Amino acid sequence: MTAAIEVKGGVKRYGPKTAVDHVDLTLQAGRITCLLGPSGCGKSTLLRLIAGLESLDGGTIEADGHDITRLPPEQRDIGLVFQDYALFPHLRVEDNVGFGLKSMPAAERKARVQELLGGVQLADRARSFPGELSGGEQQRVALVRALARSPHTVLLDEPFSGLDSHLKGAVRDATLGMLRASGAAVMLVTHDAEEAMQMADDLALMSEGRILQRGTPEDCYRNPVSIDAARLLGEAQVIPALIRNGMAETAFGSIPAEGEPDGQGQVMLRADALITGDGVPVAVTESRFVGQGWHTRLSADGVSVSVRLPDQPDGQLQVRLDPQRVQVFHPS
Amino acid sequence: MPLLAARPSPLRTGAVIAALVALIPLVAVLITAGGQATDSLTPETFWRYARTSGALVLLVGLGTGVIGGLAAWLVALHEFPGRRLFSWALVLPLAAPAFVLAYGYASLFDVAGPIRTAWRTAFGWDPPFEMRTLWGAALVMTLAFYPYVYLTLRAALLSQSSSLVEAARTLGLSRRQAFMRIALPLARPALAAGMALAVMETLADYGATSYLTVQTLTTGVVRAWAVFSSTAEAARLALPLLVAAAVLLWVERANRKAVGEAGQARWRGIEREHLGGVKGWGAAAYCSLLILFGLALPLGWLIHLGWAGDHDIARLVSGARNALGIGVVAALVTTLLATVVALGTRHDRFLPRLLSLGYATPGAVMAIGLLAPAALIWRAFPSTASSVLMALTLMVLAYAARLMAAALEPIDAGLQRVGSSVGAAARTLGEDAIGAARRVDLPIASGALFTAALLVFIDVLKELPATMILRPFGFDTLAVMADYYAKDERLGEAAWPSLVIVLVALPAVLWLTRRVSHSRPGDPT
Repeated sequence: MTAAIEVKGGVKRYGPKTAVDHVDLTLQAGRITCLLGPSGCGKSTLLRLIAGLESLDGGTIEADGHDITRLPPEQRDIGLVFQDYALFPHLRVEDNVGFGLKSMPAAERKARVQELLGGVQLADRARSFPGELSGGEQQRVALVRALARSPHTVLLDEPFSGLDSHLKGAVRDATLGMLRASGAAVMLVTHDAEEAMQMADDLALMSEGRILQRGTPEDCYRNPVSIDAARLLGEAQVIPALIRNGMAETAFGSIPAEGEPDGQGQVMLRADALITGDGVPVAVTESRFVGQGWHTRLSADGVSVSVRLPDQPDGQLQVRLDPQRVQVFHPS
Repeated sequence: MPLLAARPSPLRTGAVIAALVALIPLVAVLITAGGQATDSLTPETFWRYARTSGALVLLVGLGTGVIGGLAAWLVALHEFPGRRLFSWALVLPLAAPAFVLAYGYASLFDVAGPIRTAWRTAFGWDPPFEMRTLWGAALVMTLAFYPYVYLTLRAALLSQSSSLVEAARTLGLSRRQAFMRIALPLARPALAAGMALAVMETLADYGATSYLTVQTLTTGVVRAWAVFSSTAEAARLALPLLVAAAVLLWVERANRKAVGEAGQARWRGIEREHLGGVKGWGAAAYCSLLILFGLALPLGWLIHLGWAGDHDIARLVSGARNALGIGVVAALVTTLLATVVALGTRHDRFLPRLLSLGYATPGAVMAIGLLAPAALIWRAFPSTASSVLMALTLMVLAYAARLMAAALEPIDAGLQRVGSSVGAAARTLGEDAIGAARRVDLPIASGALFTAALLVFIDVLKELPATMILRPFGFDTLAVMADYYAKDERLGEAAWPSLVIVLVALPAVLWLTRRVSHSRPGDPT
């Protein structure tokens, strides 16, 4: 399978700031890649570079093996869903969706627009203006407008950030369905780790202009390449460890660290990394009920961590580390 | 973020060409100023003109600042009888060119005029105030130009979020103290910007100052050209005006930038203080007096004179036809050029800033700057175009060069409201840069385009010196007619074209103000 989009060594600078720093990224047809990173990390710039709305300062972009680095956006055959949807306020919904289909005969275009709008339950809003639609409806119009030309690649820039939280789930599922049905290569940019993991076939973690890690969501979550990468996917805590003879010893117990050289190290753990039962005695300093469990602060040997426990802990507690849910690092 | 900055775009090229229209006359003035002198301009004369201009600028600047500032403060922050009416009516004097006020006041204060006659009858001695002086000119122009200060300051006060003043109140300041320490400092840039605009107009004025026999640099420019036929001298007199324009522009821009940054988040309108009883009626009286003196009184007197005097309907109709015709053409051309500039420079402020220099430059200077390049073209192609067409083209170019920046402002604002993402969306949907502008940006900003055209049209209608210098022989506009009759002391006849100008401009000014004052931060766009 050839890659729909391949960015090789992409560089973009704004004055002294390097927004995108030697990035390699591949988008596969039929797969959804989520680009996850904090705001200002360059992920939206990378998206605009692929769309052709910004030009690269270095590197190349290929589509199906052809170099499109210097191609203007209108010739790239890439659909883009903007964060603010960018619906044309002076055009009706049907004209927004049909905007990119001007070379199509009128009757054919009308049919295509109806089909697209029907697919997102908006057939009855064809004559409305974007300003008359709800946020969720606008999002769907933006999506089918981008899909109307059957582009080989669809890019989405924080497509759910403008929606109320109670709408997000449903809109996300519907969007996912449309994107899968289109067969296009999809890249979705987001800063929401949960959203990224729900949507992604492949995940790319980005920070300060660089791609830190690429892989499946589970792989990235379970085996982060660095503490920074780990933090992008949710709360990650770091405790000091002493590595000796293939074991990492911490205040909360020891875990295997095969192949790691002896010396000072760090252990990254998530909120579900501690198992109660036999293990190291710890002190409970605070415990609050947060719905899915008990958010608890534990300390041992002067090191404290926050974990989520299924039951309310009493004063005396013994815990051990779950080796599947921690990661050993050497300080750089 | 610059959209496709690396590739040469057709819009960008167009913008540069359009901007050249405004810049050529300015450069030409500089070159012309180095030409052969005819010795009619002595240093003493030059300094006398410069001093008068300086004094006028000072007086009008202060006058408009106080009068217009007070009006804005009353209307924006207080509730009193008739406030809603005054809030737009106070702008109306903008419809009358300064020379129309000058005719009215000069005649009212004439030796045989109604005011002096009444005064002499009542008190037995002549009133000490003479209209045909520096002070008289300053009064006329203060009344004519205070709306610039009023508009900018009112907008600034209205755009301040009430939370700032409320925060000051909770920190122990009284209403007055909060105004002095919060609202006024925040609005000070707007005050300065408004005063800069009023002063620009003062320096640009030819009709009122020359009628009131006050000799400024601007009247000097026209005089050097008309009486001594020396464009070099006219250009030399224009140099300090160009410098002043650049300084004023800098003041206006620097302050305007500060205006935009005050109190943005969570905008909520300021609650007006209720002025009861005498105070309320005092505020209403103040605003009424401004409208009375700024428009109603001089205009009423001109109506009276016009009614009593002769009038030549045929000439009036032809003057009106010329003025409206050239106004419409200039509005279309200028709006078109400004649109090209706006589309080509959406993320770059350099060209628009250069164009603003044209706006700050008096029309007389712009016209002098066009004479030299015109002569060159004339000599190169002597028989290709009729002289009338050439002159009309020059007029339109002069208006465009001067007013492109004024037109650019609403268009830029309109395009900014559109936002860059819809244009980018059109690009990803297969339109090139020009197609995206044609199908998306311009239709959305069409209201702004109309506003721009209307602004240019009003200014052209009121314009006098550039028209005088560049017009083809026998091509009278309303303003030129009025000036001609007035200088001939036939005010009854000058009144008619003057009144037609005001009559046409009045609804346009009204429409523009309502449109501008209805867009506020916090409004849904």
